[in-house]
Amino acid sequence: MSPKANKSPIKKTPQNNKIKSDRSTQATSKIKEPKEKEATSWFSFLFKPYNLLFGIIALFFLMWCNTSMPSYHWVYDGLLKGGSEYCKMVQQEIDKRTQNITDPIKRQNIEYDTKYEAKLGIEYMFLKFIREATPKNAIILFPPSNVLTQKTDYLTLKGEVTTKTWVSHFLYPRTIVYEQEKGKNPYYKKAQYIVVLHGWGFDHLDYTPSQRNTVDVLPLHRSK
Amino acid sequence: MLIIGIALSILLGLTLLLAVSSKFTILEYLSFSFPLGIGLQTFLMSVLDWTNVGITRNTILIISIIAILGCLWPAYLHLKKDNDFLKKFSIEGCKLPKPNLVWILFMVLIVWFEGMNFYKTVFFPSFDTDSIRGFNFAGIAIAAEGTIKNLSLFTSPNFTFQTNAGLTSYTPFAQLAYAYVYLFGAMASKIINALMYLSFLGIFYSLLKRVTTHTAAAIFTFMMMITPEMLAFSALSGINVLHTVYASSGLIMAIIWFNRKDDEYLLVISALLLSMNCFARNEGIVFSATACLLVLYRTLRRDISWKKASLFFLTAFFGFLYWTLFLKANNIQSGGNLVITKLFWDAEKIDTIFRELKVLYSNTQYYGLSVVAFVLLLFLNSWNIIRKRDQLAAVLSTLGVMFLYTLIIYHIDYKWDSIENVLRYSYKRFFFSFIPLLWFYVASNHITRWFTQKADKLLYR
Repeated sequence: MSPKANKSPIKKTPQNNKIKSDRSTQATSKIKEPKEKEATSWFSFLFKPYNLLFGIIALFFLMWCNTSMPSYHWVYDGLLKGGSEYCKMVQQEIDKRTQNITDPIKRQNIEYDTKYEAKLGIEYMFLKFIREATPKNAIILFPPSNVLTQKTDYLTLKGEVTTKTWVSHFLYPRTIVYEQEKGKNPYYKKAQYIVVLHGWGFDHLDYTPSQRNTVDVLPLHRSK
Repeated sequence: MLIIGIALSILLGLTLLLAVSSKFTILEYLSFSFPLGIGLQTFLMSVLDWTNVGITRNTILIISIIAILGCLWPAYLHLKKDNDFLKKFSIEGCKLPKPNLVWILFMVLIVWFEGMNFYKTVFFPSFDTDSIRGFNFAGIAIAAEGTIKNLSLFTSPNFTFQTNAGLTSYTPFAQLAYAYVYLFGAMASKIINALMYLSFLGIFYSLLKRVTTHTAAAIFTFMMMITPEMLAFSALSGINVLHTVYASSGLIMAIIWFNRKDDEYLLVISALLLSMNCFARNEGIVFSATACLLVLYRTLRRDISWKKASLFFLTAFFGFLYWTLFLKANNIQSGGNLVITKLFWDAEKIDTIFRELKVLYSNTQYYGLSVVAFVLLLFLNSWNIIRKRDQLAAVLSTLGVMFLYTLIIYHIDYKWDSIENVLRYSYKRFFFSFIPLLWFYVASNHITRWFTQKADKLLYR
C-alpha cells in the first residue's frame, strides 16, 4: 500500500467511528503488549542486542584495565585476591591452634595473637612475651636501640621496637622507659622490671639471677 | 555488645537523617546512617569528656538515647507531612533499577571487590605504623581511661605527643571512633574503617544517581572504588580514607544543591558532613571553605537567605572551631605554631612543591585512571564549561580544594620533617579526598551524560 492510499479521507459515520474505535483499542492493546511482556520477563534485557554489545565492550574495558594497567592488576590480583587468600591461610592456622580450646575468651585471645604474629612477626611475639611476664601497672626498662636491633642468629628485631609509642601500644597500660632516657625521664628511676637482651641488662640487677637467658624479663630488685 | 554499639550509631545517624528530611532514597538512608551516626557519637563523647562526665559505655548509651529522642520529634513531624514516605519501603514503592548487563556486571564487581576488601579489613587488627603509634593507641587509651583531655598519653612526661605534628595536632574523630568500639567490647577497631568504606560506596553511588543514569553510577562508583592506593589504605586504620568519606560527600552534596538550588535538605546534610570532615582532619577546612564559597555565591544571587547561609557557614566549620576551643580550654598543645600566618614568597619552596606534585598527580600507580580521566574530560568538555557553564561548580570546587590544600602545605613551617617527605607521603594520602570529586566530574559532565543517556536508551532497545 502506498502512503497516499493511507491518506484517503474517510467520512465520519457511526460505522466508521466503530472501526476507528476498534482500531484504537487494537493500537492501545499493541502498545500495552510489550509493557506486559516487560513486566512478566524481568530478564528480557538479556536478549537485547545493544545490551550484549555494551556488556562485551565493558568486559573488554575491564580486561584492558587488568592487563594494561599494572596498578589495577595489582588491585585485583595482589591486594584483594592475594589479601583474601592470605587471610584464609591465617584463619587455617587459627583453627589449628584453637582446635581443642572451648573457652571463648581463650580462643579470642589466640585468634588475636595469631593475627598479629602473622602481620608483625617476631616483634609481636617478643612484646607478647613481655606482656605475659609483667603486671599491668609495671614500669619496664628497655635496652638501648643498638642492643634492641642487634643482629643475632637467634633473634633480630626491627627498628619499630625502638619506638616507645609503637611498643606501648602492645604493652599498655604498662609504662615503657628506654635506657637512653636515663636522667631525662622521671620514670627511669621508678622502673620495676628490665628486659634483658643479648647479655645486656644483668648489671642493672641488684641480685644474681638463677639463669642468664639471652632474652628475658626480670624484676630489677630482689624484693620484686 | 559490639553489635549493639554499631546498631546504636546507625540508629542515631538514621534518626538524624529523618530529622533533616524524609526525601532521601532508601540507599541514602542506609549508606549515610553509619558515617553520620559515628561522627555524632564522637562529638558527643568529646562533650561528655569536656563536661567531666567521662567517656564510658553507660554514659555513651545515655547520651545516645537522649540524642535519638531529640531527633525523633523533628523526624516525626517530617514523616507526618510526607504521606509517601512509607511507600518507599513497600514492595510496590521500592523501585529497583531497570537491569542491563553493564549495570549488573559493575554491581557484581562492586559487591565482589568490596566483599573481599571488607573481609580483609576486619580480619586483621590495626597493624600500620601510624595507627599503632597514634590513632589506635589513643583509641585504646581513651577507652581505658574514659577521657581525652586528661589522657595519660598527653599528660604523662613519658610521652611527647604534645609536639609539632604529634598526636594532639590531629583532630579526634578517628581516636574517639576507635575508643567507641573498644568500649563496646571490640578486640580491634577496624570495623570502623570497614563500615565507613562500605557506606561510602553506597553514598557515592546514590549521589551519582542524582546526576546521571544508574548504569553510569555503577561504572564510575567502581572506577572510584578501585583507585589502587585509596583501596589499599581503606583496609588500614589511618584517618585519610575516613576523612575522604566526610569531605568528598559533603562537598559533592553542596555541588548538587548548587546546581539545583532547591532541595535544601541536601545542604543541611552537606553542612553536617563538612563539620565532621573538620573533626576528622584539620585540613578539612579547605572542603568547608570551598562549599561555603558555593553557598555564598547562591546567597548573593538571592537563591538562599542569609540566615540559612550563615547557619551553613557555622556548621561547616563547627568541627574545627569546636576542637580548637576544646584544646585551648583544656590546655592541650597541638603544634599550632607550625602554620606561617603571614603572606610570603618562597620561590624555592614553590619549585619543590611544583616538582613533587607533578610526579604525584601523574602517578597512575597510586591513583589509576582518576587524574587522567579528569584531565581528559576537562579538556574535551572545555567548550561546554565556557559556553554553558556545564558542571562549573564541580570543576571549580575540585580545583579549588586542590589549590587550597597546596596553599596550606606552602604555609607550613617544616620543623619536624622535610617538605619533600610531606608531599610524598602526607599529600599522597590527602589526595584520596580529591578522588571522588574527580570521578564525580568525570561521571556528571555534559559529554559523559550525553553518552551515557544515549547508551542507556540503546541498552533497552
